[in-house]
Order: sequence, then structure tokens, then C-alpha cells
Amino acid sequence: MSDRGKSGWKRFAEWVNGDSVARDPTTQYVMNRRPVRAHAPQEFHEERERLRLKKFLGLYPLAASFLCLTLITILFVTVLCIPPFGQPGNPTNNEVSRHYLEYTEQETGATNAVTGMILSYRGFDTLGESCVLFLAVSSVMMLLQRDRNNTDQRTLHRLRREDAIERTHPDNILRKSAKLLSPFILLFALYVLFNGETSPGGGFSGGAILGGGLILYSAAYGPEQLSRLLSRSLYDGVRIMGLMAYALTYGIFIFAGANGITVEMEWMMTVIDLAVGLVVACTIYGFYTMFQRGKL
Amino acid sequence: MRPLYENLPFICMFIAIVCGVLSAVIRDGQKAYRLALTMTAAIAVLSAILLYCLYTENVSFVYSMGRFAAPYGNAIKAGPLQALMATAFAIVMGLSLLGGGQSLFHDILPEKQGLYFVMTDLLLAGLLALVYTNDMFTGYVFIEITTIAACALVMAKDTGPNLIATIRYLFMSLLGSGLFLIGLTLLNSITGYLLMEPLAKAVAILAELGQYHRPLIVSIGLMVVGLGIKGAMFPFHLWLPDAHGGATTSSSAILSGLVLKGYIMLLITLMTRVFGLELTREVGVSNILLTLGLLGMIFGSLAAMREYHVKRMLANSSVAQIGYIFMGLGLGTEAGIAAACFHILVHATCKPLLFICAGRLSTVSGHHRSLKNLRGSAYRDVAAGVGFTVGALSMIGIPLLGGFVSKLYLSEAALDSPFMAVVLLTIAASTVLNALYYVPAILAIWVRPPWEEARIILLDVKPEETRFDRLFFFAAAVFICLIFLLGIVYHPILNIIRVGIQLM
Amino acid sequence: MLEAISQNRFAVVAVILFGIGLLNMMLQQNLLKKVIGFSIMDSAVFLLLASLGYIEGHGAPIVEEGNVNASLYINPIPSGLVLTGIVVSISVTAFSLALIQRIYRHYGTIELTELLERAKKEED
Repeated sequence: MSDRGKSGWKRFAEWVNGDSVARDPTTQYVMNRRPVRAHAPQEFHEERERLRLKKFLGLYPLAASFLCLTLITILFVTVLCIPPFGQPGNPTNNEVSRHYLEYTEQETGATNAVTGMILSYRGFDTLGESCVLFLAVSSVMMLLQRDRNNTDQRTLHRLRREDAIERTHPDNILRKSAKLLSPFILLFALYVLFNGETSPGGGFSGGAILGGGLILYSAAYGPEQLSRLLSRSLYDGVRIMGLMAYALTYGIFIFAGANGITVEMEWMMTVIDLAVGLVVACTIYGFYTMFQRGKL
Repeated sequence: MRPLYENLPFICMFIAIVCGVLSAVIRDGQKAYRLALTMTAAIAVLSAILLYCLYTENVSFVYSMGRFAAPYGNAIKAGPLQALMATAFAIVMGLSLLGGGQSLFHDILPEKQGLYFVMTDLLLAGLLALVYTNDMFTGYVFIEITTIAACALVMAKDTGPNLIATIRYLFMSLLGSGLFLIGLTLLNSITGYLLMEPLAKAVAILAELGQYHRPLIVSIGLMVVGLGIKGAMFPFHLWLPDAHGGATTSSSAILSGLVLKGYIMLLITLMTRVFGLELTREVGVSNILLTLGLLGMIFGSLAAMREYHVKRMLANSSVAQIGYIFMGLGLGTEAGIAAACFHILVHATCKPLLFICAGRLSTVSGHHRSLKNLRGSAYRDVAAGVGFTVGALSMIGIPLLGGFVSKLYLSEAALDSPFMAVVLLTIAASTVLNALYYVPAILAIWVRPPWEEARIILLDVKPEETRFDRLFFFAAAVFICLIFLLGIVYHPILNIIRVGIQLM
Repeated sequence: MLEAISQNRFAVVAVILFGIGLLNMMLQQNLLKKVIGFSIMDSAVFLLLASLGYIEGHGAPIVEEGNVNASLYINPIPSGLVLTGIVVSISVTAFSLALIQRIYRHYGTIELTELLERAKKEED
């Protein structure tokens, strides 16, 4: 191979690749003696990676336990100096909490100060929280909803067998008790939902009870029975409607409130409460059915 | 009635949340993709308008979320710095999605694509909230939103190593937010406030009286460390290379370019608005940040030098670049924070550009990702090659490019510091190390391999994947323009940042 | 010392629980045990947070008709924050459990050491 007829760039390229042929024999000799880097590394690299991992795994517990114990000691020493438990004069009991207790009913229409606080005073946090729930269901769906990446024949076979057993040998005790309990659970859920502003409860607890009722029904009568009532599209519709209604209502509330426009508050609290309830119920049922069967 | 522009921050977050929810209805990935792009464009425009208004009037304002005034209700606060960051985040998010679009639709199953855009949209909402928030607990809630959405972006590719990277990322993030929450609880127990302005007053009084000194220091430390873990501060960065390197291209770009920056912005807000720079210097948090930042600059680069997998190399280099940012914060002066903010912008433009170019280069080389197999790939897509080169040169710190300016200002900020010599030496060493891994990478992609090796690679290339990708070209071109913009007309941008820090 | 502990008994218990959770989360190799550790850790923080709001001898913050004397009720703020925190923690737990289920289906193990080795091998 001669250098003549090659551009400078090409020679440079060959030099970088280590492929170039030197002009004089001495350089050629030195070059040949130089270890060629590109050919060895595969096994060498694997071995080095393995050693690094081993070293990491050996060192990690020591470092982690040292850091954790230091942190715990620091925390322990710290909490001994914070304001004592249960005293009315603590810094947390300031004008903000007094304001919540004294004006919640007047300003938001809720007698339960906690509900009033999370739904209207600090409602933006609660909107974020509903988004967290929504995100969690979406990501669980992304992971567990059956597709070609996460399903094999064995799982499908197992599910089919379970369904068959379900059909031929229904669990009578479960069915009867579910039949008996379901209406009451539903009724109780609705009571907690609508009564949330005045008593302990509200959207979150009501939604959780509603979701629990759905899970019981699904466990007793089989998911097919339930999916006839609550199909995928209906479920998605309810879930998205819930969060949408919440976001829109709350958007109006924030926009109006910040710009000093007066709007009726009472209906908003009710809508938000209901929407939160729907979101929570759908989340809980969604978790159950995704983990159980990977589809709605 | 407030001026109309004051509603813009809230409207931006609101749009992002609504689009995220809507994306769940749209099962079709392409439609959700278009919706996400439109949304980022809209948010970028709105934030730019906000930036213009705030900068010309030289104000910042508190916007109460609802009709209850502070300290009773939630509030957000926007100033020039926040508006600038929001604009940058929206632009970078949109361009990352554009640039990685092709591999995104290749990597993710069609029925899951809609859900992917739920994550990106809500992620943007979370980031905006982290930038704008004026309330500690709102900060916590949106940290968690960002965490879940970011983890979902990592696992979207759905391969085995990906899932493991996700769970490691998730555990580290949870540790970080757990520490943040317990710090927040301790701080609340001694001050009783959550909104930042009254909290800052209470903290200042406590610091002056020397009351509850220990809980105060510990809570500041816990919050900083918590956010540091989530922002990949040096000894807590081990989750980052796998998570960022293994994800699909758009996710890597978004995670490296934006998610880390969201937490760091919250940290900056805390340092300037709540604790005050003086207190952070006094209790020694600054020095810790400085030390860890310096260590990160060196060790991140060293780790990157050992990598042969191009995206993991870029991810490791992120650790080093984040080190620069923490170093700037650790100087504990306004100049240092301004330089750190500028470096946030620089890194938020360079790293996504590098990631999308690396992704494109690996697409046109049959999805090979080790540097050895990418040799000569720049000729198969010249735009990607040029983009990679510009991004890498900017990261090294070549004049006319953004990276040079931020290094210059970081060094200038270090001049007043007692640790001047160490900082300057480390910046110099880190620059050399950066060059040591970026230059070979640039050479590798521009140098043609011997024909036999190239043939083996070319066998894996599908012809439809090497077709000219319009969207990628557009995204890379805009990123390159932005880098040159940051490198040449840096003065007005730095001015905005300085004014913004004053008006924090 | 003892007096300080008894004054802040809930906070001390919370720190102990936090420590248990933290050590489990960092040192366990089994992913499920890590998740359990995380749950304990979060619950400990909620315990600390909830204990901040309690005032001895005061009742639940459900304001009775016409009796808006703030000194009768406990502080509602921490309760509300705990409510938000719990929901966040549930979501995160569900997400990590789903991830673990997928990892188990893919690799047949949930020991982190083994997983890391196999992931390295798969990548090379």
C-alpha cells in the first residue's frame, strides 16, 4: 500500500484507526510492537466490568450503612430539640391554623377544617395529588397492560384456567356475601362522598370505599361480569372525566379567585369532592385489575 | 383585577395538565405526539411573553392560587428568572421530542405511545410548578409528580436492563424525596409556615435569635441533600448512567436536559428565597455543595472516559456538568448562582442536542451504540454529525459556543471565593478531561472505518431508517442556533438572570 | 435526656421507624423488602408530621355550629398534609410493585445483586 494518491484526511483517518502503514521501517517496527487496542477489549472489558460490579457490591453496604447510621443519629439528636409534643404554644399553632379553624365554614362552606383546607385553601396541592394518582395508574398500565413484551403463553394459559374454574365452580359464599354487601358499600361510599364536607371523609375516603366495592364485586362475579358493566372505554371515560372536571373547576376557581372575580363556591366544592372521589375509585380499581389480570 | 400577563404562569401549568389528561384519551400515538408538540410550543410562546413583560417592567409578582391571600392559600411567584427557565424548559422539551421522534416510535409499542405523552406532558407541568412554586409543600407534591413521570419515561422502552435502571432510579429518587419531606417537616415544626415568604421571615428570626439552631441546620441540610440526590450530586449519582443511557433518545434528552434542572431550580429558590445566601454560607451547606460539585466534575469525567457506549458516556458527562452547577451554587454568592443558572441553560441545550444526535447516529448505524460501531456514521447523516460536534465542542468550552461563556463566568465568580485556587484548577482539569473523551468521540464519528467493518455494520441498517428525517434536522438546527446564541449574545441573557436573582 | 425523650416521644419513635425503614431500603437486596422499607420510612415521616398538629386535650377539627373557638380544636394543617403525603406514597408504592412484577416476569428473580449482573451481561 503506498501513500501516494491518498488525501491527507484519509491518512489522518487511518492514523486514528491505527491502520496506517508507516513510511520508514523503523516506525513500522515500533508500530507493530505497539499493542493494538481495538482487538482485545471484548473479554477484557467484560472482566473489568464484572470486577467493578463486585467491588461496588462489596463497598456499597459499608458506605450505605455508615451514611444511614450517621443520618439516624443526627435525626435523633435533632428531634430532641424540636418543640415539645402537644403544647398549644408551639410554633406550628400560629395564625394560619387559627384562621383555618375560625373561617373555614364562613369562607368555604365546609365544617371540617381539614377538608376545607385541602379542597380550597391548599387546593393546588390536592390537584397535584390527583395528578400523582392519575400518573400512577397510567404508569402501572404502561407496565402491566398485556402486550407482546410482557405476556407469554403460560400467563395466558393460567388466566384461561382460572376463568374456567370460576365458571364451573363459583364461590357461593363469596357471591352471596358480595350480593348482600355491595349495595351497602355503595350506599356508604356515596354517603361519605357527599357528607365529606361536614364530617371526616370526603373525596378520598369515599372514593376508596367505592373502589373497594368494585374490587369485591369483581372478585365475586369475575372480571368479565364486571367488564360488561364497566368496559375499558367507560372506565377510561370516568377516570379522565373525573380529573378533567376537577382540573377545569379548579382552574375557574383559581382564575376567578386570583383576579378578584366573585363566583359561587358551594357547587365547586361539591364538584371537586365528587371528582376526587371518582379519580380515587378508578385508581384503586385500576391497580387491582392491572395487577390481577393485566387488562380491564 | 390584575394585569393579564400575571395569569400566564398558572395558564401554562394548567395547559400542561389538561393536555396530559387528554393524551390518555387519545390512544393514537401520533395524535398525542402532535398535541404534546403544540402544547410545548404554546407554553414556550406564553412564557416568552411573560418573560418580556417581566423583564421590561423589572418586577416579580406573587399569584395566589385561589382567592385566599398568603399565607392562607397556595401561591406561586414569577420573576424574570422563572420565566426564562420556563421558556427554556418548554423549548427544550419540544425539541427533544421532535429530535427523538423517530426512535421513540420505534422503541415504544404502539398501544403504549399515548401513555408516554401523558408522562411528558405532566412532567412539563411538574417542572413548571417546581420553577414557579412559592410553597414548600406544593414543591414536594410536584417533586413526586416529576419523579413518577421521569421514571415512566425511563422504563418506556421496556427492556430488561431498562426496568432495572428504572427501579434503581426510583429508589434513589424516593430516598431523596423522603429526606426532603422529613426536612420540610422539621422546618415546619420550628417555624409553622409552608409558604416561602413568611417562612423566610421566621427562619431569619430563628437564625438571629439562635433559637432551635440544631433543627434549623439539620432541616436545611436534609432538604439540600434530598434535592441533591434527585439532582445527581456526586456521590449519589450512581443511578444516573444506566437510567439516562438506557432510555429511548427523547427520554434521555429530557431527563438529562430538564428533570435534573427542575430540582436544581427548586434548590436555588430555597437558597435564595427561603434560607438566604448568608445563612447557607454560615451553616456550611455552601461548602458541602462546593466540595461535592468539584468532586463530581472530576469523577463524572473520569467515569465518562471509561465508557464505550455512547449514550452512557453522555450520561456520565452529565454528572460532571451537574457538578459545575453545584459548584456555582456552592460559591454562595449571587455571581456564582447567576453563573450556575447560565450553565443550566447551556447544559439544557447541549446535552439534549448530543443525545438526539447520538440517537440519530445509532439509528442510521443499525441501532448499534458502542462508539466503535459508530465510526464514520456522521457521513450517513451529516446533520447529526455536525450537531454532535457542536454540542461536544460546547461542552468542552470552545469560544463562541455556550459552554465557554458559562465556564468563564463560573471562573469569574470563583475569584472572590476563598477557595479560588482549588476551583480554578478543578475547572481547568475538568476541561482537559472533557476534551479527553469528547474529542475521540468526535473523531470516531467522522473517521471512516475500514471497508470490511463498515460492511458488517451496514448489513444491520434498514434503508427506510436512513432517510432524511425532517423533524430531527429542524430540532438539531434549532439547538445549534441556541448554542451559538448562548455563546455570542450571552450578555442580555446573563442580565435577565441577574435581575431575576435580585427579584427572587 | 429522658425528659427530652418523653417530651418528644412521637418524634423519637418516628425517627426509630425512619431508621428501620431507611436501613431496610438501602441494605436489603430483595426488591420487595426495599419497597417495604420505603413504606415504613414514609409512614415514620407521616407519624412525625401528624404529631406536630396534636394539641393535648383538643378535639378533632370539625367546627361545630356557632362554636368557632379555635382553642377547642387541634391544628388541621398537618392532618391535611399527611393526607396528601399518604396518597403520594400509595401511588409510588403501586408503581414500584408493578415494576417489580415486570422484573420478576423478565428475569425470574428479584435479588438486586443477581439482577445487576444479569443486566450487565445482557447489555454487552
